[in-house]
Amino acid sequence: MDLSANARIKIIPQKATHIIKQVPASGEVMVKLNQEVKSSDVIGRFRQTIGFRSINAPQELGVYPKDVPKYLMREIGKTIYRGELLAQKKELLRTREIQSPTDAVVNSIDPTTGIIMLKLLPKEVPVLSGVNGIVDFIDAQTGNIYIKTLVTQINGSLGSGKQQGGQLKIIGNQRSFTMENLIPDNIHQSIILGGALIYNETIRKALSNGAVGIIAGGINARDYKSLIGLSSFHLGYGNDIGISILIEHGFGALPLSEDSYRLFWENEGKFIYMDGNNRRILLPSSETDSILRVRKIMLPILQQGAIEPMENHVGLLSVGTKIRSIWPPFMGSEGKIASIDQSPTMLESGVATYLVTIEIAGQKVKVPYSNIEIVL
Amino acid sequence: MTILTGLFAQLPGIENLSPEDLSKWLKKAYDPRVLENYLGNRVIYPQTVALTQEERMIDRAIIQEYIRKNPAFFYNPLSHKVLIPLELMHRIQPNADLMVMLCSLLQVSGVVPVFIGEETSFKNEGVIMAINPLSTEKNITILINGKNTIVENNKIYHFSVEDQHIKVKVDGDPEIMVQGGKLGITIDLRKRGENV
Repeated sequence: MDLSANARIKIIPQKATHIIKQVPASGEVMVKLNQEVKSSDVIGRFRQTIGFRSINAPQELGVYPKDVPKYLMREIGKTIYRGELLAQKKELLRTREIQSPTDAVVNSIDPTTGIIMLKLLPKEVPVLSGVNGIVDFIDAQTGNIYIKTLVTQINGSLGSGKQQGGQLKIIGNQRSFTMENLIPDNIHQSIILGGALIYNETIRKALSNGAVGIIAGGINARDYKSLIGLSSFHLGYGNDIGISILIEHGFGALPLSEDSYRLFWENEGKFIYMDGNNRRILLPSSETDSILRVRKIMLPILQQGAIEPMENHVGLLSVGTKIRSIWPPFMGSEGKIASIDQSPTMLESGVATYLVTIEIAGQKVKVPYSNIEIVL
Repeated sequence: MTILTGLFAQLPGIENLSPEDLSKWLKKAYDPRVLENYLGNRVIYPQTVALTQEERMIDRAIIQEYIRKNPAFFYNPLSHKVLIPLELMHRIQPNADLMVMLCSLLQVSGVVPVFIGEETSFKNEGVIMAINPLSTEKNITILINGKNTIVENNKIYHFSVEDQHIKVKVDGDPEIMVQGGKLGITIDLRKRGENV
C-alpha cells in the first residue's frame, strides 16, 4: 500500500541567499558592487536625529513632581552627555542621583508628572554587514544593500513581519511558556528565542524593549490573529508590526523541535536574521570559505518584503522516513516510521484510515498517516 | 502528486468562527482558547483527521456553525441547489447525519437537489424536500418508491434510498418524481418559520 504525506523542508544547510541591509536616505553607502564583506564590516552609516528618552525623576529622587526642577543639575535646553549628573537630591545619610543615560539635550520637565524629557543628540550610526558575503546589488533609491551569503535556513509554520537582523538571545527552554515577565530589558536589536508558547503580551513587551524578532514553538490563535490584524491565516503574510515573529509548529503550547533548538543554541549571541512573512530563520555561516562558495552562485534580486511562494512537496511514506506529528497528542514531535499498516483501522472517531507506527522520544505510537508530515 | 489537503482549507473564513458559537453545539465545556487553537490547527493542517470521539464532535460543531453562518456558501436560492464539497461528506458520516444537518441549517424550501463535487464537477447525489404538508394530523404517511412509512408531522426524516429516481408521496399530496443518489432523501415536515 503506497501512502503519501505532505513533506516540509525544515532545515536547509548552506543555502545561498540575499541578506538585505538598509542605509536610510540621509546616510552613506560605504561598499561597492561585488565587494567582499565580513560580518563585522561597516557597509554604511547614517545620522540618527529623532528620539526622546523620559526619566521618572519623582520616583528616582523620591520627591513630588512639582519639586523636580529644584534638583535639576543641568538647565533646560543645555546639552548633557551620557554618565553626567542630571539631577541630585542630598539627604541626611545619602545622596540620590540621576545620571544621563545617553547623549542628549535636556528638553523639558512635565509639570504634572515631573518626568524629565531628554531629546537625543544626533549621532552617527554604523550599518554592519552582519554576514560574510559579496555585495550583489545596491538599490540607490531605497538604500538597500543586497549581500549574497550562505546561511542555514530553518522554516516555520506561521509568521509575521519583515526581515530583521539581531543578536540571538535565548530566554526559554524547548518546553517553557514565555511569559511577559521573562522578557529582559537589555534586548535592544535582539532576536528572542522563547519556548513552547508565547503570548501577545510577551511579544508587545519584547517590542517595547527594542527586540526585532521573537521565535517560539507555538502561539494561541487569538494572539496570532491580533498580531497579523487580518481575518484569514492564509492572508496573514506580508504585514509588519515592527517585530518579526516565527512560530515553528502551530497553535497552542508546542515544544520547539530538538534539531532546531540545537541550532539555536549553537548560534546564541550571534547575529542572525529572520523573515516572519516568509516564515524562516537565517543563521549566517561563519565558515571562512563561504565567500568562495557564494562567488559561484547567481541569485535573482527580489524586492524587499517580497513573499516567496511556499514550496509544496509530497512524498511516499516508508519505513525509516523522518516525520513530524502535526496533530495532538504528539503534535510537533519528530521521529521515524517504524511500520505501516496494510489495512485500514476504524478510529474511535469513526474515521477509517491507515495507521503508521512512529518512534517518538523512545516510544512507539500509532497515528493516522494523514496526521504526519515528512521532514526533508 | 498533489499536496494533501482537506475540508477546512475549502471553507473561506472558517478561522473566524467564535469559540462561544462553537460551544453552543458542544455538550462539554471548553476553554475558548482550546477551541480557537483546535480550529487554527485544523486550518493550517487541513489534511489531519479526528482521532477521538471528542475531536469528532468538535469537528462537527465547527462544520455546523460554519453552515449556519454561511448558508450562501452551500445553497443558492436562485439556482435552487445545494452544492457541497466532497470532503464534507467524508467528514460527516453517516450520510443521514449530513443530510439532516444541511436540511436543518440551510432553511431551504420546496424540492432542492443536493450536489456533491469538487471545483467545477458536481453530481446530484441527494434531495431535500422541505414541504408544508396539507395534513395537520399528528401522524402522516410517506410513500417512498411505493413503500409506506408512518411518521410524525412537524419533524425531519431521512430515507436512505440510493436510487437515481425516487417516487415520493407525502400524505394527501400528489406523488412526485425526484432525483436522488447515495445521499438519499430528506423530508422536512416542520412548518416554515416554526422551530419544532
